[in-house]
Amino acid sequence: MTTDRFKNTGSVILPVMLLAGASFWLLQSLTAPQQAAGPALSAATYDATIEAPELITIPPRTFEYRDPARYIENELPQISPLVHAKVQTPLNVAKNLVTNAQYRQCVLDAYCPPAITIKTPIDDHPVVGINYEMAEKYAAWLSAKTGENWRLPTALEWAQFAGEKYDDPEKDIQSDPTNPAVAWLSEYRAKSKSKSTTPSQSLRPAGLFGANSLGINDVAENVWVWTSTCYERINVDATNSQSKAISCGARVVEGAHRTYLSVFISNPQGGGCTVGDPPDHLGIRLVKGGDKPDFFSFLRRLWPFGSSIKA
Amino acid sequence: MVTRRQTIFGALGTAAALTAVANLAPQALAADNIDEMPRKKVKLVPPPFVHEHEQVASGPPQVIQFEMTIQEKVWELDDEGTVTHAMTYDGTVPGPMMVVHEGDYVELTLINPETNELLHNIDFHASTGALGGGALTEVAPGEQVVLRFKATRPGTFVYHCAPGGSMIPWHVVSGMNGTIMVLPRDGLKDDKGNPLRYDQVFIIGEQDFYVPRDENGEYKTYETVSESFSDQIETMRGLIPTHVVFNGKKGALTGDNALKAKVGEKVLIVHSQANRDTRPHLIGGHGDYVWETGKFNNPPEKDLETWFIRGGSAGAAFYEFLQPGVYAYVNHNLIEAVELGATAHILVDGEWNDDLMKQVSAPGPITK
Repeated sequence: MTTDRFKNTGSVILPVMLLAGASFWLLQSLTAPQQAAGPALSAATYDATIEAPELITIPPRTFEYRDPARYIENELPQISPLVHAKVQTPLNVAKNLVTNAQYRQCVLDAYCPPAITIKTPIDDHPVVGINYEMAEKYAAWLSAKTGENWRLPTALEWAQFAGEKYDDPEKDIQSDPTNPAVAWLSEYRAKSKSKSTTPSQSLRPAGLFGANSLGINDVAENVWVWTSTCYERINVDATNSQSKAISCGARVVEGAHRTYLSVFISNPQGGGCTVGDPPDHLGIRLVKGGDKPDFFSFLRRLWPFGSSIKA
Repeated sequence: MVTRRQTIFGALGTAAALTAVANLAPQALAADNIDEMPRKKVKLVPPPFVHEHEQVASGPPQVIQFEMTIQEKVWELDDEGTVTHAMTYDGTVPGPMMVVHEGDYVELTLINPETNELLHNIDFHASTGALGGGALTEVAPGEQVVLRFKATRPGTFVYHCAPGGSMIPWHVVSGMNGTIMVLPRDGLKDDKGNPLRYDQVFIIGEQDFYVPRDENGEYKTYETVSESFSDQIETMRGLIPTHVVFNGKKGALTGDNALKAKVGEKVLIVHSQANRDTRPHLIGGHGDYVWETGKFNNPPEKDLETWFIRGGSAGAAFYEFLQPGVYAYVNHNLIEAVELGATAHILVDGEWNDDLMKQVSAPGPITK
């Protein structure tokens, strides 16, 4: 295992974001690791009046992408490997975030719970105050209504359509194996730097932040989106043998920076122990079609260390 | 029908007359030799920092002159764009901290510019008489006043605006408060009388805000400060703040504005709350020596985890950083810290001490 691939780091964001709900999601993941997706879609059957969202097709492309799994090697936290991704199939992505007006139809259908927000939702604003389960339910509902396969993107797919808006979450992180504070401080400073250039939390009508170079609106602005990618920790010991723990009680959330959130969180807050930089708002971006690519088989293909990875 | 300004000035009454007397003949009320005492003009510095000062007085008592201009201004409370009409001493929430030594005279020029809408004054908890100076300092827009008082008791003390009736809490929860620190002439001491010297002072002014909401749950905005009065009083009477923040705004002391220190540095954290009880806590650190009530003639408490600041007081905590990292300094009502905003961050550089803490085994599979 080459050392320049793996730099030592401590993770700030991870403990930070998970602290609030750690006990809950741990419990959840232990008791129901493969929870089925919500109640039956009896209320949601095909309905020609429900319009499918406008689509943008992302052509096959090659990009750098940071593996969202957290790595520990010989008891030391590592910076996750940078993956050189070559995606050979096109991806259909909704041009806009799901709006309040769109989400409300699912609520009126008694299938989705209302978004958790104290402010009155404005029709053409992106829906926010959404936890993972709500996002999943909306995708299931829209699929039933349209007869198409709508789902949440994987973290990899998010990077694929984020284009130039994808910012390597760990590029400025320094580390020192004898001083974990070096990583904490550099991560804090890197995130604070980006904070000063991020837009305010005030929501704007969908599309108003404009499109990225691939034609997708409002990417990495003030609404973060849920991905279907589960939280994963990989331990590598001195003999190069691996063990991993996957918990789908927490998922990767993508936006101006990457974070990991417990699935029931709809309004993350900063402050307190949470010295990380939380998402401003949590919303939904959908992709269409295909089965979820098998992320792990994909990663195995890209894995720089070949056969050292066990399934 | 009376105009708004007349209504607001309605409470002036006798205090205004007293102000006039004090202005005309300040010397008559003063002690003998103040005219001959050395005088020093000090320019105030916005929190979280403090003007340069000696920790041990190098000479005899002096008259320390300060000047503050009251500014009523539209004030952003968070990064969601919530605004209120703040009332401020010198443009900041909290107002700047003044530092003098016991036995010095504080001489404050308080200016209320014509552009303001309201009557203001100042009540120094460190002073004696005249409602803390409040009765001698009422100034209408377009006026100024000069107050002098003797700093007789060493400690950290709140000052705030107190123009009478409902105006008192309204002005205080609109941001009109700050701290004066009266140091012992020979500086701070531990419980055994050994000197304590700090490398930095951080001023944390904790502020509760009560922003009214409309029927849709949106925060309301008002064109002028006086228009917000009746709604605000109603929200205040519910006693549940919408924001509890450090230094005027959620995030005022985090991110780019986080405080900075080094391992081995000694800091004095002065924490004021002019209206409501609070309980500061340094996550991952302690209070080595804490004057919870802020009064330096009492020995400091040692090794505290959390300390109590009574509403209407300022306390001081002395701490030497022993470990690098990102520290969160919070009101340990964690709902107020995380949900309402009462959090500051301190970035501490330096060498990690494995003896104090070490991750013996990283998170991994359960082995037994």
